[in-house]
Amino acid sequence: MNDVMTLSQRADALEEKMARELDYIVIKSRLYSMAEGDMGPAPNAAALMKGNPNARVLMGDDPRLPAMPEKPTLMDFFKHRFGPCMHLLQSARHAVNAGLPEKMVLACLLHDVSTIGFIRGDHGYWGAQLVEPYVDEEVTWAIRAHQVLRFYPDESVGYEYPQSYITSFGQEYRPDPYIEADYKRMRNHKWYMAGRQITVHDIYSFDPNVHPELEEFEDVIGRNFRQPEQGLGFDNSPVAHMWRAMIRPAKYL
Amino acid sequence: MNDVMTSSERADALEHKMMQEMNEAIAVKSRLFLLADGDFAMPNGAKLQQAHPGAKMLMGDDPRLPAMPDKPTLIDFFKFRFAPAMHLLQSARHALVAGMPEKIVLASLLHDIGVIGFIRSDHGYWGAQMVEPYVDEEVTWAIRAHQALRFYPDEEAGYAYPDNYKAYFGEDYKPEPYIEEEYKRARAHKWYGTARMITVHDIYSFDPEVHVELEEFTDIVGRNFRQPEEGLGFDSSPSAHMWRTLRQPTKYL
Repeated sequence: MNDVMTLSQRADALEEKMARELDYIVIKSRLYSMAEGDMGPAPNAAALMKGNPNARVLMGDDPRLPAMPEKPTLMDFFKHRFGPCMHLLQSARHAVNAGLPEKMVLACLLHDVSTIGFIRGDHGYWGAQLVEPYVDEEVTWAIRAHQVLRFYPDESVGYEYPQSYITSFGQEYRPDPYIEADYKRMRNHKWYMAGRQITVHDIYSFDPNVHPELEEFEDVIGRNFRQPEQGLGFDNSPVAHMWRAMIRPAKYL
Repeated sequence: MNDVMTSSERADALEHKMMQEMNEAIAVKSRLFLLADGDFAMPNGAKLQQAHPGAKMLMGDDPRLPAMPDKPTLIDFFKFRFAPAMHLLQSARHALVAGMPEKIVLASLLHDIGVIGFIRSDHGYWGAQMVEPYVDEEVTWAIRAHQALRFYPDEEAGYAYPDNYKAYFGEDYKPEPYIEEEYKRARAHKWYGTARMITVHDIYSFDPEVHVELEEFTDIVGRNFRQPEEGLGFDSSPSAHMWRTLRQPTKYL
């Protein structure tokens, strides 16, 4: 590492190198840069293009990522965009074994979809928003709620505060006030138990011997996820742009 | 950039530097942000903690970013999160000088907050989604639609296809089918004229002589943006988590 260069100079140098190597130019989104602690202004596309007159800013598919079908399904996102999903598969299998209704199996299968495919912070809220047009209202509600309910034990169903949270966040970690306020709202909601069931089947201990396949849940998805005919991202739903952002996360505009 | 270091050495060195900057909290990049770098890695929190005993996963403010007030306003996001806003300020001033109603001035002021503050790809849709709970429905609609209308000239309104789009995307660039569809819908909509006005006042030629201050629009924002009392991000609105992500882009969960 050349410590003489600031982080943002280094990012610029990388970007210039990339633009020279490729025939397209990627300008990072503000949110992505801030997640690197970089508050500097984005590099100027016009200036980068002067250095590489044949390049264009990226407006189509990103050649660095696997190609997606024109009308992508939820399965296609699992296969070509999401990270490893063993935790979700194990949770869904756990819910099946416990005899939960299909709707709850789907909720378990999708509860961390934002963690493995989108944005980690507030992943329950993001995940619920992503699937809202395509699933039962109770599933959306439960996915949103699980993030909050995870921090609060419920002895009546044998749910304890997770050991892994103590390790990850420290013994004295307390949820933010907005989480506390949401917990109070959710505790009294008619669908409380749906959100709570997700936490009960939220399997932490990754068991290397249990290997459910995504295909096991193909029918549950087919019956409970309203796959849009035009493909996720192209159905003009209120969240279509969010799925498009996963298809082309570095599109210029 | 020191070319003698391998990329994994560089990654280690970067991680070390980050740990120092972060006061021994571990910030993990979200899947979407990594995908935007063409990176398919899935960071493992437990392994990162093993490598940095005593460190906790970041669940609060990111020390690399400016602190934000407890109850942040739209103006606070302009000041502490958004990139320089001169393009938006010049557009809003342009709309004001042309005698546009306050609602359109506000729409011009906010039309690109997806670009300067969030995610570039489909920025009109992102920007609209963020402000929807706080502005007139027509303003939301116009911000969403401006992204599609920018690609289509309207001689009657005095709007031509932007020269810089030719430079950026190539002479032969054609908008994608979903944009084409959006344009057709928007063209026939009762609020077409409002969104078209955003494009008319969307000032490209950055004039270094014109310095517009955000404070010029304090009153227009005050009268037309329903600032939530609890602060943006903490009002339990459907877009609250989006503003929270902007505040804490590296929150672990």
